[in-house]
Amino acid sequence: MTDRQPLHKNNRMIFTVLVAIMAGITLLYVLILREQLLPGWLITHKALIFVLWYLDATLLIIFAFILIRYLVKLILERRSKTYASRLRTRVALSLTGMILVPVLYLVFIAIDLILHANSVPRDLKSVAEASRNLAQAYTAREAGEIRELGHTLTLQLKGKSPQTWPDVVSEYMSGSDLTAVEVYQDRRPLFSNVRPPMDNQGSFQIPGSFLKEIDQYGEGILVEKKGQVWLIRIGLTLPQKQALMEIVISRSMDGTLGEDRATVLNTAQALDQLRLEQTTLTMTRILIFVLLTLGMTFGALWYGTTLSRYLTQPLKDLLEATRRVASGDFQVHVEEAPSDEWHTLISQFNEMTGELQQTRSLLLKERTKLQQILEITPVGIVAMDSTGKVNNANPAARAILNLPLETQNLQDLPQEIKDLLHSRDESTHGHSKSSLTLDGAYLEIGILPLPDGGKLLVVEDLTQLVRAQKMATWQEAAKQIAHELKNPLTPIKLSAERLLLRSRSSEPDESLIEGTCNTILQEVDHLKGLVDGFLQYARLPSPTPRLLDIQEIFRNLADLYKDIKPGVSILMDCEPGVVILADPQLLRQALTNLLDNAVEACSAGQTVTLQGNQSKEGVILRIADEGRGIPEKDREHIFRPYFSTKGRGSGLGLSIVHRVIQDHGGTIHVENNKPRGTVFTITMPLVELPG
Amino acid sequence: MRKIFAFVFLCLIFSASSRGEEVRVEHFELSVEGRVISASISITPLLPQEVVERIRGGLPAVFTYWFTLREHSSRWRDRKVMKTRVSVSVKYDPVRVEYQVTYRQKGELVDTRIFHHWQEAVNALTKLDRWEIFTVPSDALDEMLYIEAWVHLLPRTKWLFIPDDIKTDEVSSSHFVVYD
Repeated sequence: MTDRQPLHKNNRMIFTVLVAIMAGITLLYVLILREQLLPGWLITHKALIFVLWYLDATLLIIFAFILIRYLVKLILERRSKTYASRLRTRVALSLTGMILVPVLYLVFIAIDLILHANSVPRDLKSVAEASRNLAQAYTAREAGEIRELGHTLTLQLKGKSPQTWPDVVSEYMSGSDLTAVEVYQDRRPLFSNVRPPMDNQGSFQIPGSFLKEIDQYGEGILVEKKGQVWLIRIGLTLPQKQALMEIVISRSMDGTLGEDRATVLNTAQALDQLRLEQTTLTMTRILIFVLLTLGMTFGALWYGTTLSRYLTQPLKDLLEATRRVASGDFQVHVEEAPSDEWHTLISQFNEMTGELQQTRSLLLKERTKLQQILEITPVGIVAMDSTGKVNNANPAARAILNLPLETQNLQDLPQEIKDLLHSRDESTHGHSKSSLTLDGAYLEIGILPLPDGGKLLVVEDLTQLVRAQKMATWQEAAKQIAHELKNPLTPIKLSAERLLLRSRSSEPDESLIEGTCNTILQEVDHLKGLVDGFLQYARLPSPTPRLLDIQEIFRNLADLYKDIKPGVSILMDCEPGVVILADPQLLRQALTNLLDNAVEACSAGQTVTLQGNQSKEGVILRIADEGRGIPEKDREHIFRPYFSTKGRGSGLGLSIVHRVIQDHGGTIHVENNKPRGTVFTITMPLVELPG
Repeated sequence: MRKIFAFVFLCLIFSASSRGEEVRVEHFELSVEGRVISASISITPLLPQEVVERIRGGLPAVFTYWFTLREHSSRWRDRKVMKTRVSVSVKYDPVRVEYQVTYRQKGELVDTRIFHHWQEAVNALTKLDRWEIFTVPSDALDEMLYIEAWVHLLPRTKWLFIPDDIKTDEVSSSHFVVYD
């Protein structure tokens, strides 16, 4: 997403720049410490301090600009809630602060040390001042004495012929401690008298400017070293009418006084110079330290910002990519760092988004397929969340339940469905299956709990199927009825034909007529029985349920059938207190039919068992015999009307049982008993007793 | 933002430089002989205290006389024909009680003088008498010329660390023409 320089390249560049800055400043500092290495003009013209000042000012402005710009940028980033801006701010400020705080602290200490390091100690200053005063006083006293000697000599020379002056001078010098007397006329040497430690070669070396000054100011003082001897020379004018004459009287300083005087004055001057240049030196060093601090600060800020950018940029990219992934864009790809810890993280993120993209494509494909199936399936499916909000309803559900197109409200469901859902909420949380009739349609409703607490309503419109089944049942019944009706009609017809033939004969056969008529009557009775059974099946009343104790019902039935077939015993295994909600007459009729069949199927020595108990599914009633059993092929037909395996009877008994149980909301099924016989299992709904 | 910083920076630079008011050029006169121009110039002999302290403290002090030969133009800017500088440096030797004054022109040593009186040294520093400064080049002959001069005495710092100078204002000579 963002191009980034490798860290090692950044490091190399940062390191190089920092080292260059540090080396430059260190070199500068060394040169300042050893000022004699610097050219004089750089010191005296304060060029260095100017250069440093402008460097400092420039760096300070650049640094302030960069700092303010960076801070403004950080603030703007944080306000715009740019990814990782908070982390970037913290990293940059932490790194900069970690470097800046100790550096600033050290610089303040260093500046304080510099301020005090260059100041001349007061005691030393006083000593130097006093020494210089002493040296100057000594010089002045010497000069005064020489001047006095000079004036005395001048007075002696005054009024005498210049030709006699050398003798006068020689005589005068012999009575004094003067080293030399030199006389000039119009600044040109006239004569001299020199005594050791000077020699004649050292005479007449007075600079012209000194003689000029003597002429201008009347006198002058000159201190100079001749060989190993320091001389104090006083120049005076000799007033002459014809010419301008100058006389220079010299006296050597005693012993090492000359050298001591020079040392004192040079030292005092050095201290003076140090005092005069103290401000410049101090400020130069402070400016260097400020320059050093600014350089380090600049480097710290640069390094801090670069490192924070390097550390946070991949995070920013990852966060941006995560946001895009969260918003559904799985095609995002983050630029991978060349080689560091981010590389692993980013490459794994890219792999993850790739896999997510593949999974999403697969899911979309599956979802589309499922959607298509839901669109075309005739089974209605309604998905609801835990609050009862309808999340989804396929077209079949909308058509069956007559729902609005974009329904999301439970209230849009038909009242019967809502009642069913409500009753299921109160009774059970497991799967359930119910049937109901809605606007003439026969619906089978399945309710499945979903993992998120919601429900899945599966609605199947069985109207057509039920109609077809009814039609088939009635066709079968008609066929059976026709078959049953046809069987007695044949003997009736044959009997009637025989009677007709006999009536046409001349000899009536009384026994034949009686037998034939009896046959006809028997078959008509049979026909009547068939019609009565059919009417009974057709006219089964609606159940009027009340609470019934199973144990009591079974006991009454067992008492009724215990001696009806010799050798067949009735056993009762019934859990006490088990009750069901049923119509007593209809239930008794159904159970009587089943018990009647069971007893009939058994032979002597066999047993019929009546069992009753309660389970999670409901109340279970079992009637088991040890008789001949029902063939496998006949089991699925035994509840159909007029189906009989006995070859006699109406074939409506089990159909009536099935219908009675169904009308009570129960189920019945048949299976083999072990080791032999048949078991009919009836499951009736549970009854919740108050309290 | 950048403009503001530039403005502040320029303000700092301009505030650092100031016009000299402590010393001024008292006398400036030219003499022309052929194509050679000589200048006589003197500045206030009463030197600023920090200059005096510096000289008497034995630190070298350099007075630099700047001369610029310009050709007058009726257009908006006069042409600079030549430029030169004369440096007069002084160093006091407290042991010998003498002032060594050195004259350099364009960096080349011209003369060295020794003085034993303060006033002589001050005179040497503050005055140039008939000093040959320019030889008018051919392209400036017959043109209206003049010379600008100012003297730089000492660099110093203002407010402890801001660079500053002790110097005179610039003075101009009257116009003149050098004929071939």
